[in-house]
Amino acid sequence: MSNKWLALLLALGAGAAQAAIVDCQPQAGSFTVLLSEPTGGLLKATELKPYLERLQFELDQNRNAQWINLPDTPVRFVICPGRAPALDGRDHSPALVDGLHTRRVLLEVWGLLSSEPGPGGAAQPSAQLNYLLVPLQQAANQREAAAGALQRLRYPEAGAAPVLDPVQLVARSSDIDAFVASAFGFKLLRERSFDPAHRNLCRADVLLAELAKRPLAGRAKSELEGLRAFVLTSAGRAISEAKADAAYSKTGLLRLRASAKPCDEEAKP
Amino acid sequence: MTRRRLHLVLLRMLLSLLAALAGPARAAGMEPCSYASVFPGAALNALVLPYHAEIRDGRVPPPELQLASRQIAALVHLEVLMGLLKYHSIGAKHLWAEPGEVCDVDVIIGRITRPGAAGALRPGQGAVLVWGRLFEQAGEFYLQSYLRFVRQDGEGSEDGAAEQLWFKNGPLQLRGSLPTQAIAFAPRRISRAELAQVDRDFRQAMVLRSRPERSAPGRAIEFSPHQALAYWVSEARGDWLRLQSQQGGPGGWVQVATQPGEQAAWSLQRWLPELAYVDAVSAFVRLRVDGLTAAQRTRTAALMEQGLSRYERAVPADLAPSAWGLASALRGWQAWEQGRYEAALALFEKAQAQLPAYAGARQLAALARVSVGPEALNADSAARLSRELMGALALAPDNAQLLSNLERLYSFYEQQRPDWSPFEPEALRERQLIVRAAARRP
Repeated sequence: MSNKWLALLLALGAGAAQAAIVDCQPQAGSFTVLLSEPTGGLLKATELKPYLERLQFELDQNRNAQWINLPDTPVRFVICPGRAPALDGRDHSPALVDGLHTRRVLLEVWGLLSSEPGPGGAAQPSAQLNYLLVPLQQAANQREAAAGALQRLRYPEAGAAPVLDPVQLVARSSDIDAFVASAFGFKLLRERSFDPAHRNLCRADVLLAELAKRPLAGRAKSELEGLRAFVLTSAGRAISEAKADAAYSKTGLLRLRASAKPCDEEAKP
Repeated sequence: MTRRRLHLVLLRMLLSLLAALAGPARAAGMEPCSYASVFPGAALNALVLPYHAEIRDGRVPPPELQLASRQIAALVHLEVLMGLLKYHSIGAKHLWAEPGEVCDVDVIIGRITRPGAAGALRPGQGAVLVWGRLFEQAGEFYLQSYLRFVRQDGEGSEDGAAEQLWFKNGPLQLRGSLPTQAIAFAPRRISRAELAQVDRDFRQAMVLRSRPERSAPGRAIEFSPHQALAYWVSEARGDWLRLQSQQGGPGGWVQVATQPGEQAAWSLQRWLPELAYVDAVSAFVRLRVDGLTAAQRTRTAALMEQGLSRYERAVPADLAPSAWGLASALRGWQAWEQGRYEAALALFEKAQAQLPAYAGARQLAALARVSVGPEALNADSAARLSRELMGALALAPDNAQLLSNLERLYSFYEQQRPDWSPFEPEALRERQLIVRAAARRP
């Protein structure tokens, strides 16, 4: 095959991949978690939009239940039918990530829905979900230090009871909450809003620690550990940069803290 | 004064009269949200706000949903009231929203906790508020309930409506609060058949009889999807309530349970176990208000445990982590007040594990750890307390109680045990300045 034909095929392939990345409008005035279409053979094409609508509904309700005590977290879920990014994240070019970032998308969620033999051999739904923490990916694209922007989790987790409803299988608001707090905290840090950045990053640390108690393995485990370490480093940065900033209040609470142990320990003389 | 306003004023007078007649023992009634108040003589008031049929995507809810929202609110009111009758000195009100009015729970809590205001809680009195919504999604109906509870503190604490518990060990005296006093229960799917069943049960149950006897002649309450159930309870005898119409129509007796202690046929607890949780929280709040004998306290505490256990049997922890975490904290609180300090500490630690991102849960466990006995406070445990409070503060840097506790701990170091302080005197003074400044920030 000549190089010319190979180049054409590659271009067509790239075009096909790009064609899957349709755009959706995030929620105006809020930060957005974008729910994109899953791939895989579990759902028919006609079932995808109802699936996304139910998923958004479940997550909205869970958020309502979970965040009744955090009414100041302005995050909304938005579904994006027809948008089905590649599982390996290659569709998220720097330009695409920039577009999401400037429109205040904190997180994009997509993945693979399939079925696998469950206990007794009966088929049960399974999923691999990808969570792209947009502010972290955008920083990495600009060669800033950022780790763990793409997280991958499998459902059901090892040892968990089978879940037959594919929406219930993946509607895990505590997972999303952990990633939202990480992304939001880092975004605030880059905007030099040190106190709210620190608060969100420390909240993320607690939630990620809970997530890490699951029987994760391989890449998912190392990616999560990488994110947690990065979150703590960022919380430490919020402290050290606040202290170094002439505009930061002389009585700011971060002055009580040490950047080496940013969420628990206190600064010692 | 307009006729409508006159009607509302008369209604308030009627309710006040009812409260006076009923005395501090039992009272119930209806009231518009814009005039929401509590029965002044009741140690515990339950306010059932509307269960509104939610407009989604600009579509008006179907009539069956509108009807069900009113019937469910009325049944919740009766069920909460029946639950409360077990306790001493209670009042219950069913609040309704006038057309175009939003019944905002924050506004109502602000009104009933305004110290000294007419219709507000008196120092020490408590209130439980329940409300909800019904909505349609992809052809299915859902019902979601919410719960908040408050108590008038009267001690001038950081948050007058929040429960406070003292943790004392010698000169170190700190205050803790529950991790949360608000729960949004998970939405429940209801089929059209179940909605229709609610309607049938309601109409069968709401038969007004001339005497509190099943054989007495009776007539069904007229009920419209466009009108609130305008009745108030003037008397309770066993499982019978005497309802009076607020619009001048006939009143009568309604049986709310077929067997003493059993749920009525119409009881929503069959598919709304959160009402058992509401009952448990009502018991918790009632226990915090004076006026119970030792026997009544024991019985009320047992009823609290019964309600929590009933809910936990019906709803697994992973579907309701907040409710389970709060339940652990409520049990711990109760144990602490009974002097079972080790058991309380274990329950507070359990609540912290269930609610890892709640600053209040972490603080409760930390305070209990240094107060569980005289030996529990030493240089190491005080240093750990300082770290735990800072850890909790990382999650809630604007929490006034946490800041106040840190300030008290620093004062303890400065004035009582400088030898325990992990900070040099100058650094300690700087920390005190920062914490005080943070507490003063709006």
